[in-house]
Order: sequence, then C-alpha cells, then structure tokens
Amino acid sequence: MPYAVIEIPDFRLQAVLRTTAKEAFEPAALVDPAEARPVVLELNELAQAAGVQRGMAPPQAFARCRELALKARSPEAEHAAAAALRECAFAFSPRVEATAAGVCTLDLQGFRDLDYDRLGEKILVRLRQLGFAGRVGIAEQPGLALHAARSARPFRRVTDSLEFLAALPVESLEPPPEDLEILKRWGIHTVGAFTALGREALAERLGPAALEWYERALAIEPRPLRLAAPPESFEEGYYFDHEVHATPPVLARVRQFLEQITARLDLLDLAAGELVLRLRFTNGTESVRPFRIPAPTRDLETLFRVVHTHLEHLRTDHAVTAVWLTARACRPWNEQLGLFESSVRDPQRFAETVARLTALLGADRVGTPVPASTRRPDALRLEAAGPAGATNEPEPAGAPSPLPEPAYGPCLRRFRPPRSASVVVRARRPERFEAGAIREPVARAHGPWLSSGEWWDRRAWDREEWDVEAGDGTVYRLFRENDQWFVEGVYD
Amino acid sequence: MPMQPDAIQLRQILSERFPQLRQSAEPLDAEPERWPTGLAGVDATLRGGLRRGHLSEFVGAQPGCGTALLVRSLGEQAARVGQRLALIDGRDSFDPASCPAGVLPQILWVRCVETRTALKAGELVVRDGNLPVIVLDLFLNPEAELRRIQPAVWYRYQRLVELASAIFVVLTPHPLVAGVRERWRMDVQFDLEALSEPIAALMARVRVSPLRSAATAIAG
Repeated sequence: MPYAVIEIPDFRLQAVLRTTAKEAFEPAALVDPAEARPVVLELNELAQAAGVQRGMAPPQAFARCRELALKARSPEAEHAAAAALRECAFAFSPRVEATAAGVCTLDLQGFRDLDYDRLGEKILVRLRQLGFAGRVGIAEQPGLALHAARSARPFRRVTDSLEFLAALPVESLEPPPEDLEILKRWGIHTVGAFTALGREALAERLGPAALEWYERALAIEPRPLRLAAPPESFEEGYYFDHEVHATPPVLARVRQFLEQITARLDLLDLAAGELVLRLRFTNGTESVRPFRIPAPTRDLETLFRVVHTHLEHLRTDHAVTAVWLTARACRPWNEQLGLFESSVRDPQRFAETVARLTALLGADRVGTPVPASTRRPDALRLEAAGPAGATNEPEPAGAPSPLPEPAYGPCLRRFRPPRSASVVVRARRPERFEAGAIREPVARAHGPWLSSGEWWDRRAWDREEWDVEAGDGTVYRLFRENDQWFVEGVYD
Repeated sequence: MPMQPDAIQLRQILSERFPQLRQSAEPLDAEPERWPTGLAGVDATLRGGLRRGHLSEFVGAQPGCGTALLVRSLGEQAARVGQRLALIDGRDSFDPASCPAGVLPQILWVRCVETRTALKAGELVVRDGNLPVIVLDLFLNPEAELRRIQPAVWYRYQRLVELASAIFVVLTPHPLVAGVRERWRMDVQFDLEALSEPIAALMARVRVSPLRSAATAIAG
C-alpha cells in the first residue's frame, strides 16, 4: 500500500471558507466574479441540501436558499489553501506530489508496518485543524488511490484493486456527458462493466478518446510522482468585501491567519523566524512590514502580540482593502547552554523589550558590545542583543590581533564625542586646559603616548595622548590630532 | 490585648493581596540573600553584597572615585556566575576597552544621552524581568537634568525592582534616589599614579561608607 491521496472536494470554495469559522456552518456557494455571467461553481452540503445546484445563477440560488453565503473565488485563498494542503501532506511523507488543485499524492514506500487506518484518521484530523473537510484514499498505485479518495466517505483503503475498480461508478472515469449518456443507455454503470467491453471494442464504438478512459479505468500502471519541494514560507491572504477603516477587522483576520500558519508550522515542526505583514489600501499602495522573531516560535499568542503592537499604532490615510501575512520558516529556537550558563527566562519578552529600547533610543544604541577588529580608539560594534547573549563570532581573517586585556589603571569614562579643548602647552607639556565647564590647571601629566593606524583608510588616525591630573585631582585623558586638542574621557 | 476578629480578618486579606509586604508583628527575615560586587572592601561594608529587590545608590563626589571600576567588577561578577547585566548608560560613557573581553558578552549596553530616556529605558529593563542585575549610571549626567527627576520616579522604581527581585544599582554624583534604603559614598580617589597600578590592587582599594537617607533614618 505505498500511496495515499488527499482530496479536498469543492476545493475553491473550501479555500475561501477555511479561515472563516462562522461561515463553515452556513450554506455557502462559490461564484467567479471574473466571468461574464457568474454561476454557482461549487457549493457545500448545506447549500446542496437547501436545493442549490451547480450552474445556477445567483438569484436562482438565493431563491432556493435565502441564508446562502455567496463567496467570490479568491486566487490568493486557493494559493494559501494549496500550500496548507501540501504542508499537511509533508507531515506524513517526505515525498509529496501536488497532483491537482485540492489533490496531493503521498508516497508511502519505505514505511514499514504502517497502520493505514490510523494514518488515514490522523490525516483527516490534521485536515480539520487546517479548516478542510477532506477525503483520503490509500491504494497500490497513485491513480487507484485517487479513485479511492474520490469514493471515500471520508477514508477508504483499497485492498483488492481489481474488485475495487470493478465496482467503481463509471462516472469516475470522467467521460464527457454525451458519452456517459451512451454508456448508461448500454447499461454500463460501473468501471468493471466498462473494461469488460475490451479495449478494441471501445475504441471502435466510442472513438480514440475511449482509450484514455480505458487506461484511466485500469489505473494499475505505476507512474513516478512529480515531487513537490517542502515549503519555506507560509502565507495567508484575504481581500475584504468592503473597505476597512478600523483596526479590529484587520486584527481579527490576522489572528485567523496566524491560527492557520501556526497549525501549518506545527505539522512540519517548524517555527516562524520572521513575519511579513502586507496591507493594500484603497489608493492602490501597499505597506510591507517585516517583524523579526529573535527566538523563532510557532506560539500563536507570541506571534500575534508582535503584529498586534504594530497594528494598534498604525495610522493611515486610506482604508485597507486586502491583507497578507507571510511567515518565513526555520527550525525552532533551541539553544544548548553551557552547564553553568543561564539564558533569559522569557526570550520572546526579552526580544520585545529590546525592540522597545531600540524604538526609544535607536538601533545603534542597544546591544552587546563587541570589540571591533581594529586598534582605532573607541572602535566597537554593537551586536543585536539576543536571548543568549553575544555570539562572539570569530574575527575575520587578516584582522589585527585583539588588544591585550586591560590590566592596569582605573577604567575610562569616555566623552562621546570627545570634547573639543583648548590646551596651553609649555615645554611641550600641557599646562592647563579648558573644555566646556572644565577649566583646570594640569598638576601632573604622563605622556605623550603616540598612536596611529589605518593610514590607508579615510578613518586613519594619528594622535598624541596625555594622561593628566587636574588641579582638583581628577585624571583626564587628552589627545591631540591634526593640531586639535580633545578631552577623551576621565578615569574613574 | 487580644486581637479583634475584624483585625484578624483584615490582616489575612492584606497578606493574601500583598504577600510581599511585611506586617510589623512578623519577625524580620534572616539576612536576605546578598549579591557580591566583587570588590572585597565594598562587600565587607555591605555585609556580603547588594540586596535583591532593593535600590542601592552609590554616590561619587567626583570622577576618580571608582564608579566605573564598580561597573566593571559587577560585570565580572555577573560573568562569573553566568548571569547577564544591563547597563543603562545615562551619558554613553562606558568604555568596553576597559573591560575584559570575556565580560562583554554578558552586558546589555543601553546607550542613552539624557536622563529622561535613561530613566525610561531603565524602567523597561526592570519590567522585562529577564536581567537579574541592572546598573543605572547617571554619574556624568548634568545637574540640571538630575534635579528634574521627581521622587515618584524612584518610588515606582523601588516597586518594580521589588517585584522583579532584581539587583539594581544607581550611580550618582550626589544623593539623588528618594526613599533609598542603601546609599553609599565612594571613599576612594584615584590619582595619576593609579594608572600604573594593577587593576586588582585598585579594586582592593575601593571602599564605601554609608550615607544616611530618610528611609534609613526612619528604620534606624
């Protein structure tokens, strides 16, 4: 039993309905507004029970069922639904084919001692979590498994291929209506009766097209699957029926998206490393906002909080007409810490705090200091503060050896930027200096210490440094560069 | 006099609603856990170190009194026990080159240029609750800005620090933190010769002495 097929009947309608929990329990039908004369293309069981049929014009459908929810076909919803279906399939097999719209074939070869009934049950549960009412068929060949899925209510396993095929309704072969009518008049109602006529006889009576149905009827030839690639991003999108001027409807839709996206991520044991929110406005413009998730997660509330904070403060001049949310997938954040190390308790909360600090102060003002690969004074870079601290990436090749660890003297408190100073020099030593409110004679001075570097670069420096003790006992570091004096800092 | 039933009920309601408050009839806890600064002279005076859940203010009359050395030592101590330290740098004066490289990864450096944003940033970090040691360095901030800090700011800080059970150190150029229970004066002054002394020796020289605050006056 190496193949399973998942089929979503009325796929286009289910694609639209799956993110709207309320409408899943109402009679609903699908039309394509792009058509000149839209008619009902697909409908759910409730609408069918109320008397609505495929091909009816909308007024006819409403006449049969006043509570009918008429949905417009949405290519975006179909795209997202197809992706969700593939992800569901990937949760059960690494070899998946996107066979058709709403149909996926899974290669189950290599799975030993598989309980197929239980597998079918699990797949159906997953489909329901994704908002689908699907069918699952399992059989020896992909074509047979597809037939099994189509006749499943909702799960069917084919143990005897020939017996199964023989009992299948002839409609399964999807002949044109006029040819189906002919077959019915001949008394041929099952695939078994159809194949019993024989290949040559069918071709003679019904033409070459019948040979295609014959092959389909047999469906016992193996065929290689056209394998799909595992997903890297997960997207959900929606076009609003009306212009949206307030935030709550957008938030509600985003939350529904996240429910779907987190369920899809969970299928594949992945997490969201980044979310991208895209809004389209009435004037045709779009706003795209990425959100980096420092500690990748698939927790719904955590991800919703990230987007919620942004949307709460969003102010626009135009109403929203459509919204998309994309999650870029990655492995869940897992950090093996050293035995005696501890990381933050709540990485997501920490990331939010860092984001708030960054918003308050600027991106280059919050982080973990990392010495830069240069001896230029006060050369440093700030690494983004993550939950586990700086990564201490290795120095790039060719970088100068790091400065020796400070072993002498008190620490320096820097003035950033260094304060411009005027210094009176006597006998080539500073005698007094002035820098803003600091006006002091120099009691003692050590220096000069000469320092230069990166002469090949525009950031080249060449300076003369002095450590001076002012009249009040405070010890400062002065430096002269390009004949300009500065107070670099104070020792403390 | 035996306690009235209403009073007993009121005491019970208060203890349920505010479990962290101590009522006068209850005995004092044993010496609360202290977090060493790493400066032997300071820890000896502080009876082991800094108190969790309380503000500790260190006042330096002028630069050279060792507040930057205290920050370095706190960073080393944090690194030693695998903890992280948040440095709310009120005047962006921290010099990473003065710290051992092994300490820097443990530091979240928040570079502010004015007192108001430093206080806001400090509050965000305390509320976060993830970083156990926080230093609010206002040592070089202008007097005009420091004078504008309302006492209510410190009362709010005290509440947040208590809830977070954090180690919170404030470095100031003069007594500033209203209602602080532990205020210490830095009692060392480094001169030019200190630049030739090993850091370990300088650290051993750092001393503090208690500065009386209104809170300690009441408690005392």
